[in-house]
Amino acid sequence: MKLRILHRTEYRYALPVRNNVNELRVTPLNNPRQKLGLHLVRVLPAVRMHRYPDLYRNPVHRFEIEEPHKDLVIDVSSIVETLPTPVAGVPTDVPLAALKDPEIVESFQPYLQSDGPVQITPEIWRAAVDVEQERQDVFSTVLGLMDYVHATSKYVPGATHIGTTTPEFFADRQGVCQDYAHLLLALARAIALPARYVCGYVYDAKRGDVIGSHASHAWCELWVPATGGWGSTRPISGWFTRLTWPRPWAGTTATPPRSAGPTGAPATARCA
Amino acid sequence: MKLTDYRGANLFDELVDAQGAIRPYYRGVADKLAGLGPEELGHKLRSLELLFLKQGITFTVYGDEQGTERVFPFDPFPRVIPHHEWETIEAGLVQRITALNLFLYDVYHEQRIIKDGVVPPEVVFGASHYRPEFVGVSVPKDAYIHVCGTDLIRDRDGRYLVLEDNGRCPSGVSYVLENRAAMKRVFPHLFGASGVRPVDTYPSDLLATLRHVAPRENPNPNVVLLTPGVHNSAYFEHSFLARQMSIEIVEGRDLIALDGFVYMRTTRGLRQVDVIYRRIDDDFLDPQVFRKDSCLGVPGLVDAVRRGNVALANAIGTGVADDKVTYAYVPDMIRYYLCQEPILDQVPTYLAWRPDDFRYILENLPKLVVKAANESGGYGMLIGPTATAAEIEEFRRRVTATPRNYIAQPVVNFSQHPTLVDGGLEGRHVDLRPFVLWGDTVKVLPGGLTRVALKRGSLVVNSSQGGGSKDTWVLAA
Repeated sequence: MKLRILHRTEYRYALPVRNNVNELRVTPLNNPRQKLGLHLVRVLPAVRMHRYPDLYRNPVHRFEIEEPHKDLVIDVSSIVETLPTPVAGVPTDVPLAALKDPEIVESFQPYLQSDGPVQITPEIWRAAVDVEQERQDVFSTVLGLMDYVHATSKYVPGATHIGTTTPEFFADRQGVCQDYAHLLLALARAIALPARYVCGYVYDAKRGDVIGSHASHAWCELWVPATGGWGSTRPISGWFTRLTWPRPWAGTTATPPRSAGPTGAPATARCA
Repeated sequence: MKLTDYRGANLFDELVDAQGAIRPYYRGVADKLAGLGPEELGHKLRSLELLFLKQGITFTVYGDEQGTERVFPFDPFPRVIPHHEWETIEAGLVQRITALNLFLYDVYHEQRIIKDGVVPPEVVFGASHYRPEFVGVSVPKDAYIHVCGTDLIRDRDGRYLVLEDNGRCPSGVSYVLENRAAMKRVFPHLFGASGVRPVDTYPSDLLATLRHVAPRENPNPNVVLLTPGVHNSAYFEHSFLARQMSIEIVEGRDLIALDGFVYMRTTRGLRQVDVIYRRIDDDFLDPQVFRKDSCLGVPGLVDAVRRGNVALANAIGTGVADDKVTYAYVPDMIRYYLCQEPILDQVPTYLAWRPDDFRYILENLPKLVVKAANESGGYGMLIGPTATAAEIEEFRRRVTATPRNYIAQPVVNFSQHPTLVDGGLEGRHVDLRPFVLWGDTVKVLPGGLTRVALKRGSLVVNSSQGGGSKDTWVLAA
């Protein structure tokens, strides 16, 4: 499936801002699962773009606008072809014990800890352990955690905000994809399953469109040993275009507004 | 028409590969063309010619003594571009216009690319179309080139190379639309199930691009097309586009600038103008600022632009970006502004003002193509291998006198395409001019104008120098 994506973010500042510095994690990944064609970030006002890979090898775009401005428009155009990935069947026979391997524990440390809004509290650990119970294999445990999140949470847009933490969501159980993904991360990590946050686009074949709150979506990938890779937790069926693997707190929005100006909060943000 | 006699040559042929086999994406159209008998073909060719003549699809050749208006020669064998090739071209063109617009914004503002030593100051400040008067002037949406026509050729390996960017008033798009309309009327059976991408949304896309830069918060901005008049070589195109967009076509005398606003004279009094799609060079826009002897422009227009009350497309001063010396720096611009590698390659260019290049050019004149930096339409050009000794000496003198004004490139024996000549097919050189619109989004017209050098062996495709055109088909998949 080839997707042509225009991701537009518009900021309207209440007062002119200056020295506006932005870092964008908006570049679809180029890997065996998907091929990136055209990719261009166009910004108004005119800016010079810098690019570098971050710690997780996500391509980052960075730009600064020194002059005062009230409007900022960021257009990200991408053409992404999702490639068929051979699924060798469900890996039901990987024991949880395989994750105790010291090598895995060491190399996946960043994916096993509390990080930003993903906080592993005793209550969350308790919930994870209850799901795990007598389960012996990784896959069924992951499924159990997913079912738990879906069964106990309610999708309510507007109930949470960008900075909502897992304990806050855990208390209320009302939120959006990002909160679901954060909670699943915390649960998985609490019982030592390496898990990471993914944001991207999901193509809905029925609507013929790319869906999600603000057109972009968040979900998780979990490491299943012996299958050789990260497996997606499928939030909805569709074609996934993986954007970045940011750390949870950095990826909560693809274009974090970082303005040094007065009252630099975006009044409106629209994605097309 | 017989395809079996057609042979490729020692260069890239669009129709057949090195083994002489027809490329798969040409098979459909080639078979259908081959099925036409000589009588039917002759009949269709006569209908085509009549159609073009009746529609007045003509152009003017400057400096030609016998009647100035000519029908633009048209060849019915369409050029076909497969989907995957077009995707790369499109991405490359979008990248290029983005970099050029950032460059123009920069050279008319902070000039960082010069301070950072990426483009030498003499390249920008020495360009004859650089407008120092416009440093510090803001244009709506930071857009300078709204309409770009970039010329592409293909080298021996079939690689597309950028030959030049036309960022002032690129012309030719009306022929793209008219060629397609004529082909559909005369050769409808060629299209069946071929999956050719349509071109007819161009006028509405162009109008959207123009309305996008309207300075006022006005849901219905007044957009006009400013033409130099009926004697201009592209007048057909001006009237065609204005009609297609349902906007007024005006001459300088139809507009008036008052207190920093531009108005159009109408039978119901003055009406404010928001956006001017101008098809007049900078030099003639405003006699108060540029050429004093211009009768084509509007006194006070530039003042209104400066005050931000009217928008011009393309903006004033874009000529510095399509200067042929600047061209040599476009790959560096792409790296500088976008932090990307250029998607489309370009032709290696020697700049006469660099001492090493200057010596090389003078020593190798008979092997090189020499071009004046600011000329277009194939004027002011030397093609070394076919030039006479006198012409070479003339260019030696000119290059020595004003090195900044000349560049040289190796001769690229660019691709050929089968073309109908006296009832048979012969290979003729072709180039491609796609059109890019820089508005709310960036749009590339699928295809563009394929120009053909109708003289055997000629590498000059310009209509003013004996060139014709073809319909260009981009396949949907």
